[in-house]
Amino acid sequence: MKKKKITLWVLILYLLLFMITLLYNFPIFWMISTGFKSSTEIYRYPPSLLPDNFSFDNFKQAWIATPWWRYLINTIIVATIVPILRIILSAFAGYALTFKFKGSKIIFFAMLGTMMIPEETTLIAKYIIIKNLGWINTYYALIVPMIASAFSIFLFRQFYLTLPQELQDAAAIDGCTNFRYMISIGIPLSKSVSITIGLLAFIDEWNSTLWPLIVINNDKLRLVQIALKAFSDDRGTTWNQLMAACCFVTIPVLILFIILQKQFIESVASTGIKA
Amino acid sequence: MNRRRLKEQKRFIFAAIAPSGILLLVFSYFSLGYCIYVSLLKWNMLSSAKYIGMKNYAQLFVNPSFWNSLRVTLVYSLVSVPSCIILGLFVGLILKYAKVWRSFFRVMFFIPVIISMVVASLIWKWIFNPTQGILNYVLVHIGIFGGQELNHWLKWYNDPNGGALAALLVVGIWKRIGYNGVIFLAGLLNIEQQYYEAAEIEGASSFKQFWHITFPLLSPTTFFVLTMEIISALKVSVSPLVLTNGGPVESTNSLVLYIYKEAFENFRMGYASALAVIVFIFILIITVLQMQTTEKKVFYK
Repeated sequence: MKKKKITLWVLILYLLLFMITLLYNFPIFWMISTGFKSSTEIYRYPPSLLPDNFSFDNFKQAWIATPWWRYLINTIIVATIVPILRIILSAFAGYALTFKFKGSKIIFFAMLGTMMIPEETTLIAKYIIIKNLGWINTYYALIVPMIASAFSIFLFRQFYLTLPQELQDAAAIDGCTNFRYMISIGIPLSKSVSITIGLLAFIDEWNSTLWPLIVINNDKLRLVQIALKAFSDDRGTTWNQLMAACCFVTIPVLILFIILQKQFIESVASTGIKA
Repeated sequence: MNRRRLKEQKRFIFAAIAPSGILLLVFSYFSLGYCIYVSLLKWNMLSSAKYIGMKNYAQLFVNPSFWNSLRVTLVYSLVSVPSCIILGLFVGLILKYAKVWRSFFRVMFFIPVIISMVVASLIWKWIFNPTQGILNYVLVHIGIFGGQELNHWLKWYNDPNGGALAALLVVGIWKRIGYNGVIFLAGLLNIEQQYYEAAEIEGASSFKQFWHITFPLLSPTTFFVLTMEIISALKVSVSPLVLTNGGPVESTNSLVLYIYKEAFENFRMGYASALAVIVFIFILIITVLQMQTTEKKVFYK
């Protein structure tokens, strides 16, 4: 009796879950579906869920209309350099902060304090600094302000605190300097922390919009999100091409996410970082 | 030997901390200080700056656009924060009970989280399209929109009295439910099963179990999500920029979008900085409240 009740309940639960999941991802489906539709089909009433025939015309036209390859390369450059530099700098800083020295606590808390200053409120000041450095319309503007992250330093420090002291002592007896220790033992051991930070930084940079909009006004240096916004401002009514362009911009992250989904979701769930 | 090692260590610590330290110093504390300084200036970046004291703040408090954007942001927060929490908790709960294929569903709920706000806004803009969008088609089809005022209803998305803001809210909430669901799921799975077993023996109903076990023990997670939601709602900017460009008639001109426009479209650097300082103070208050409450521990352990 009880068992039967449970099975029915589970069935309803899964039915509900399937329906919610489908509904929740409908916009993603709609983006892809619209990307394949012809110009007459998108204005058809009632709208069709799936395109009549899957033609790549919109993708081709949207691809020709804007030098996407250049923007994709720009974005890949920024979205890989920032995570790599962030991992290296944060690992060293995090490790150094495991030592007790005069002022170590103050430095640590001062670094954590930066998390209370949201990026949005310092946009103007950062813009003026970058402008005075002559970095407007350069990769520096997109990369340098993004490298340091208090949260990454914090994660690395917590990780290095869990390593046994003997490991360091043994390295020291062998005459290994701290720098060598980090290069050959410290950083390789922190693979999971590095992947977490790297992935989140990659997605953050890939999706960044407001900052590149401010510091880049040279067409050649655009990042994909800005290029997409410009594309939509240009041809806001050709929805099929616009949705095809949305696909270009989304697919690289989507693939990366699906490959590394487990690592990714777990790191978000365990650290609770904004995504 | 030991002395040499100590010296090496000192130098290492300095060299390891300096790069991150300097960058954080410049782009956080110095930037904040600089922002406060600029907020005391009248400056359009072209001519030289002029010190005007608190005049930007005085101007701000009598400018209806400021009060409007404050109102827009508050209304947005008041709707989006509870919606994101309740719907996220709902997703977390169903994921908790769906043991089979859980990771598949988790991935599906996470896809909208990782796509960019620009893409999300553009997709929804297409869905919301007054004449060709699928949403209006569905609303007419199931009979929610209809009758003589049909043409009026179809334009809800361009309505400054809430319609445009509702569109923003849909995008914002949609993008955050999955994230909250995953966080809530992690929190729910952290609750030890034995509490439920004990309650089962005592014969407590599911609702009672939720109210007396799940809800209190989940409170640290809920509180974390609450803070994140408030801060994220206060910072809403890219979705109004792409979806409505702050319009119609400033009805979606959120605080951060207002900062952006004043600074980088009207080049009123001082005034925009004063706005940024105000937003910073709001967010600071919430962060401090969070830290205090977290220290006191929200849960009864």
